[in-house]
Amino acid sequence: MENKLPKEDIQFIDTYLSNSDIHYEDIRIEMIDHVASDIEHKMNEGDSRGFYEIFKEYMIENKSSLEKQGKPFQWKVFKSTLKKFAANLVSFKVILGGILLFLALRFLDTMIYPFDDFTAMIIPMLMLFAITSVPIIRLRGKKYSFIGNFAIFQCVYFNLCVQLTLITDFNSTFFYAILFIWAFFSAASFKTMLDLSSYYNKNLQTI
Amino acid sequence: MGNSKLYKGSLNTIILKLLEESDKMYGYEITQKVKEITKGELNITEGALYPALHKLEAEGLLDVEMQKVDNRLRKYYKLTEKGTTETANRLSELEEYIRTMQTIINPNWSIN
Repeated sequence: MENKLPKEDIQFIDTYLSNSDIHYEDIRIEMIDHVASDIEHKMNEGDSRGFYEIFKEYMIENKSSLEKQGKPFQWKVFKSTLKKFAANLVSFKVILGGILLFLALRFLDTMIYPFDDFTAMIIPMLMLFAITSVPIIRLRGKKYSFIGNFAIFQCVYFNLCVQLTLITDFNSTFFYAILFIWAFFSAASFKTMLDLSSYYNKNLQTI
Repeated sequence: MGNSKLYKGSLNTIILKLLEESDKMYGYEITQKVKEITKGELNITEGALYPALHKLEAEGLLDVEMQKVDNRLRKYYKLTEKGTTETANRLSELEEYIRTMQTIINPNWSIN
């Protein structure tokens, strides 16, 4: 009969990897299976030592290689999330959402409260917070690689928009052009986070 | 293992070739299969394998499927249609490369 690790051993590997800075859930799921498969393989080959002894040996040999997976910024994840974002920029829902958001901001500016330095800074910050909250809420607070990596891109363009608006006349065409791009990017970011969190929610349920 | 730098450039092609031969595979299974075929000469580490798999997935050459297996989740990889075409291209490129190298290193030898 083949050896299979019980739930407690899997949980032990999970906790160990999490404490070894492999924080992203999607990366850790694959690493847990890799480590567990190797230990089971050794047990099935006749290794009579207990789980902890084999695990300890595995970590001495492979810890540095495993830790490479725990890097907070991963270029490949960043690139693939950015590709999804670019594809979303030309989707009908995003175009519609971008236009509606732009019109809502213009309505706010002309009818309710004219833009000033404070609103030009606080509105993008609230929007950034809302976009980042989508996957965190939908994935029940678990960290996934796409969230952390895409947040870097979002911070850069939000910061750029804020800096540009602060040096621009609030009634100029240039200001409305920035506002339009920003609304459009926000709608695409929102959809990207929705799509990715749905994908991970569907595919990566917890053990 | 021999010079790992020489194998590194062919890792993606090795992965694609293995997936071409089976319906779907998971990470550890790929490392074991490579070890078995090369009789332990080539040992792919986690640090090299998973970034390569994620890159191929991001390029749209691989599709993933999650399954609950023995108290944990397992991520299976399989070739997409684009991946199948790309595998053929990369294998012929690799064969061409090996032929060229052979003509330089040992002109009298041939891989057919």
